[in-house]
Amino acid sequence: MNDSKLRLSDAQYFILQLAVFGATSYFLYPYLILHTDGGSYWMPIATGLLAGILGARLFSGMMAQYPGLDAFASVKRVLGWPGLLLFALPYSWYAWRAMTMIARAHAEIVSMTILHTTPLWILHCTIPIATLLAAGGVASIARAAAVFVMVGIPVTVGITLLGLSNLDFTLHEPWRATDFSFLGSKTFYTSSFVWVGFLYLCSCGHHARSPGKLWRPYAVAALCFFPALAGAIYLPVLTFGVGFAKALTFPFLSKLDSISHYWLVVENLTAVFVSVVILLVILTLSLLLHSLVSALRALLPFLPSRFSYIAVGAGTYVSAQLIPSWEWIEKGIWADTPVRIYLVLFPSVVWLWSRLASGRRQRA
Amino acid sequence: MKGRKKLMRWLAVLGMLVPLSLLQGCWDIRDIDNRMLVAVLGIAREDDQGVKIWVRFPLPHSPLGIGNGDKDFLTASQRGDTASDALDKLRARMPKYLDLSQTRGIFVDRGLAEEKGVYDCLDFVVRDRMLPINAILALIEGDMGQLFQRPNPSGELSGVYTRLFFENYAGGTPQKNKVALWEVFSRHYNPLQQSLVPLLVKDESFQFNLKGNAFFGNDKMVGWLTPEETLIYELVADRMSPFEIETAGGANVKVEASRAQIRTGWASGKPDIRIRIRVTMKLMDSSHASPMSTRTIEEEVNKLLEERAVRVFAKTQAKGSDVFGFGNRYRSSLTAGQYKEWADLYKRASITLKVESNMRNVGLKLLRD
Repeated sequence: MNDSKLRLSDAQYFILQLAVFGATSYFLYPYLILHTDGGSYWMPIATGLLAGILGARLFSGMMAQYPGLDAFASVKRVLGWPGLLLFALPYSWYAWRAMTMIARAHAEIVSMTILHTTPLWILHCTIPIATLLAAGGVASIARAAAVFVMVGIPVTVGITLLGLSNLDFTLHEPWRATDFSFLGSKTFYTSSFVWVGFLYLCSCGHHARSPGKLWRPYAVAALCFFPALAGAIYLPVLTFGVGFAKALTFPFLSKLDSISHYWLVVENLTAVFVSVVILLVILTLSLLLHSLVSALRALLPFLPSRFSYIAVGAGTYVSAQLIPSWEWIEKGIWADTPVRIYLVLFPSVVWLWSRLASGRRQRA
Repeated sequence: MKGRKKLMRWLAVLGMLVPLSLLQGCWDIRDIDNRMLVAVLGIAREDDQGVKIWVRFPLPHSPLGIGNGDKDFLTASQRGDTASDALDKLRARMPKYLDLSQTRGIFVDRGLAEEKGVYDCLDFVVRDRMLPINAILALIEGDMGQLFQRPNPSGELSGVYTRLFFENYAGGTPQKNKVALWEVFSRHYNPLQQSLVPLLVKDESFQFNLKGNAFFGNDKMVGWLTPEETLIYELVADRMSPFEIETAGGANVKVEASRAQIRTGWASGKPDIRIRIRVTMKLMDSSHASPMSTRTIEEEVNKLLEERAVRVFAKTQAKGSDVFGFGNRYRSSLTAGQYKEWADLYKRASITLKVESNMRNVGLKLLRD
């Protein structure tokens, strides 16, 4: 099927969003939420969820203005070349950084948990796979997503359910604390990277039957994934207590290490979990790669498609290799927070500009 | 043109398959015959500064009869500044890879637990993930070397014996109080609850015997509860599994289930903790010399457990060691800065425990009231 004429259903968008949540929720998010101020972790999670749905609503509102166009073409139509530069350049920067850090973070997790001596250049082989998947277009990504999510999400949910053992509800900080001190925490804003999955669909918007309703599959995916996301934070806290959970780099993976049942056939749950999440990571990387190439080609229309994918894939691979440490990833995700927030708020500028322009047209 | 497209498609497929094959993790392959799997790890105090570790490896039976004589295990020991340093030195002596990933039990010498604590010598476990954090932890009183040298009397592989000793599905009883390594780490970071770790001694017939359960304060062992006293902990912590107790009147009952209700508050500036435990039991044996009614047996059990609880609370309160985790229930009324004061608050706490037992059945033989 011709990729440009491909129509993605809401179910396919929902699956893509689930994959993004699955890929981004387990590496740094629990650590960041556990280090927000205040003891009620449900508050930063719920606030992030609501802000994410609001962001997706704004984004689909921008896409709805010109159905049949992707986000970059819509922005260009409303704001012209200056607007496109103001959107596509930061977007390209953000997508490249996000890809690099997601790939490297998962390589580090694999290195820390299962494959201690495998070199990073091997663990970064997720990037060439994602590049080839992205080069196949949205149709390939959507088809692969259906298979990957069918494997990945049930395993993720099953493992989360297994984590319900050994819980002690007295270990949690007061449930009813309603202080909003988390709003002053740097880590709360850094954790917003989990909720911006709708941005990764910049290049897929024109495949939607109704772009204005594109936020709905996002909201449904976010709500469906919410228990798993809460589990990634609360299961370690209710098992280890706040102090020990905070001291761990990957509290959820350590929680999986602690699970021990006589009847459980799988001995190394962490290895199963990490392996499955890699499928979702490949999918997310391919989505990001596809949207980054779309952004570059919107800026430089003469760029040949195949060359763009190879160049972006190779650039991402080299950048991921060059990241010096885990600490750098933590700092990098924080450093990208202003760009992330800017990109989430940008659609409201487009919407406002569009309203002003139509007002001017009516007056004329 | 068509041929070129086909070639590109094949190249793309190949381009995906080659990285996939590299991601199999073959770099980390160490064949099973190139590993020596540690089943049990022991850590003891060596002198003022260092520690001595013991490791026990199960040995596969060779059809050629080559190996460690008739033994199905090999024991090695090594001195070092820390446990991690001793393991490094041991690696230098070994012909195969020292694999700690299958360790089932970790033994720590009582002297080390009393003087230096447990956490410092095991910190490397969490950091390096070389040892499973669900391994069972126990303290050993007496010569650890002797314990590691003795074959398992019931024939199980090294390590499996330790696990079976504690697990409910095998030889575990509530008195043995199975504790995983992660529980000790969790208590280390939680000033509102202390660890209760099994204390083992050498047994004549079997590998080891349960002396009691050691309780901790500031990560160091500060006292111990007898196996009978440990039952109170199990009842309060709702970790009970069926166990038998003998009443003063000579009747034996089996506690089948229990449910603890804990109410916490403040009274005159002190923590006020009220515990009500409902116990369901069945009669196992009764005295023929002085037969008792169901009601009398229930009252005997209530009295027995309540008196024992008073002793247990007095013991742990004297050392400020809240092994029950009552402090966790005060999180909402204490600020994070006050958590460290919990040990002192626990010492002054007023704790009352009320047992309500209910005899569910009397077995197949009638008990005449």
